[in-house]
Amino acid sequence: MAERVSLEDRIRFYETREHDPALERLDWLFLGLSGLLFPLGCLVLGWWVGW
Amino acid sequence: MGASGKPASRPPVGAHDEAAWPLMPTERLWHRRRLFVVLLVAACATWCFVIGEYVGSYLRLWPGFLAMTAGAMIGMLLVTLAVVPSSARYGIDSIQAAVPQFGHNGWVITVPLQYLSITGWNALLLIFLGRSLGRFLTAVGLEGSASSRWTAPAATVVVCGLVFLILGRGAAGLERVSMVLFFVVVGVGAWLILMLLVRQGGALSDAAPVHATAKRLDYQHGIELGMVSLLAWWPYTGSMTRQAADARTAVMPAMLGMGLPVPVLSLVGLAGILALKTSDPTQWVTRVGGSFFGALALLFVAAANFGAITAGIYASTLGLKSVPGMHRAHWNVALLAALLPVCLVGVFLSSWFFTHFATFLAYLGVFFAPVAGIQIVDYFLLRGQRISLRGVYEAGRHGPYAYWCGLNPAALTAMAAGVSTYLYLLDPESYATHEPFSWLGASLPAAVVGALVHVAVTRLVVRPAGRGGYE
Repeated sequence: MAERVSLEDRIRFYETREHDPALERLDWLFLGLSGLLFPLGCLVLGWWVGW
Repeated sequence: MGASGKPASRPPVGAHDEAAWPLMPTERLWHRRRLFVVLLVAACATWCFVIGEYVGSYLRLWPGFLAMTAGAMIGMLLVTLAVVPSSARYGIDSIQAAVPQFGHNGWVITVPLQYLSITGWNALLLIFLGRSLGRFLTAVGLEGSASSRWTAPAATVVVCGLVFLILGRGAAGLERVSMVLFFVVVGVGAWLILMLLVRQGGALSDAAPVHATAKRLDYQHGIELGMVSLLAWWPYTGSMTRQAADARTAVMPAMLGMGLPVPVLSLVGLAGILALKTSDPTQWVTRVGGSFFGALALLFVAAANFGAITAGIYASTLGLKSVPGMHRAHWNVALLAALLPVCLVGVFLSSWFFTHFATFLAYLGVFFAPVAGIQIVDYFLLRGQRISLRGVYEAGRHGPYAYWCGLNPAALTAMAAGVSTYLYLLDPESYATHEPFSWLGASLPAAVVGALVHVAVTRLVVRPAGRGGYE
């Protein structure tokens, strides 16, 4: 069962947590591949195939 | 907190669930695979069949599938960039993550959007679920014509009751249901796709879309339908990615668990409408698959919908907890408020809603595209990837997100501009278009215009006035 932590303690935890870029960084390479390159490939392929 | 006096033996709803508070790292236990499973089960449901049907009105099978996939992944990219950085960093849901942009009273925009969107999606699922059960009972000879009209409403009520019981446990209940349904959803989806491609291959290659006109315009309709469908995951995404340990963990499950399965499963509806002139597998599955496997598939379709409904109602309940007056209410009260409209639409308005679903889908893009655009530029460009968590939860008059009367005029103006852009480019009622729709679609320009206006008004008005916590 989750321990009961007050809202104030939760906010204070994030305010005082040491800045850790590893926890905050998005996976930009994966985002770029799956959200831009892959759709672009689908668009090009779909324009030519199956009409 | 209404939860403080609960006996320890009762199945717990975490305090964080009850109040939509930020999750502590010790509470964020969904690793990559677990989050992937929950998101996939939430995304895969029979709404995909309807999305596929609409795409099949404009495009043949493979162009339709590829256009829809491209649109879906771009839409999911926008949602991921808008929601995941804040939600996975601070353990907050989509509604709280939008407070820095819209203000303390910004819930008047985001919560109704979430509420209406989730109510609509889940009402559709309930309608399908009721039909699936009805046809299953007919297939196994247990239902006559006299009882058939009661099957769907009765199934709706029973399912709503089950969802209520499961979500009484908060996110833990959602996760357990998802783990059970994962293999069902993937297995049935793959079986339906294979069955259609193998048995209806000839009909598919000859089929022509009924609304096809010009190649570029039809192609753009396919992309747009994929995109709006995934933009609609905005309310769902934060409530689940906040359970991940960090932002990096949440990206892959969001893109592949929520983004990709929708176009893949929509292939069923796309192939169904092209080959059999209906996207609804409850109408063709026993005909194509045989009575035994068909009946089995109908049960599985019902099960898949059940997982998605559970995830949707959980997200909606969390969102409602952000509304002043509701955040002190007991979790079950908020849960009931999220569930009741879905149940009522499923029981009393099912036919009307089913025929107007395309309009509902387009309206999702109208609103969620600008929201995503505003959030992305605000977080990455204007705030340097920092928000004040205290500001999000403390709604005082002098907090950073108090703006003017708790509303940010930059975000409101940007929403108006984004919505107007979308409505000009694509009419959600008639699907009539204006150029440059055939080149750019409607959601992407709406997101871009919303983002640009938000940046401009923030820099010209909000920041000089010292509001909004911009440094």
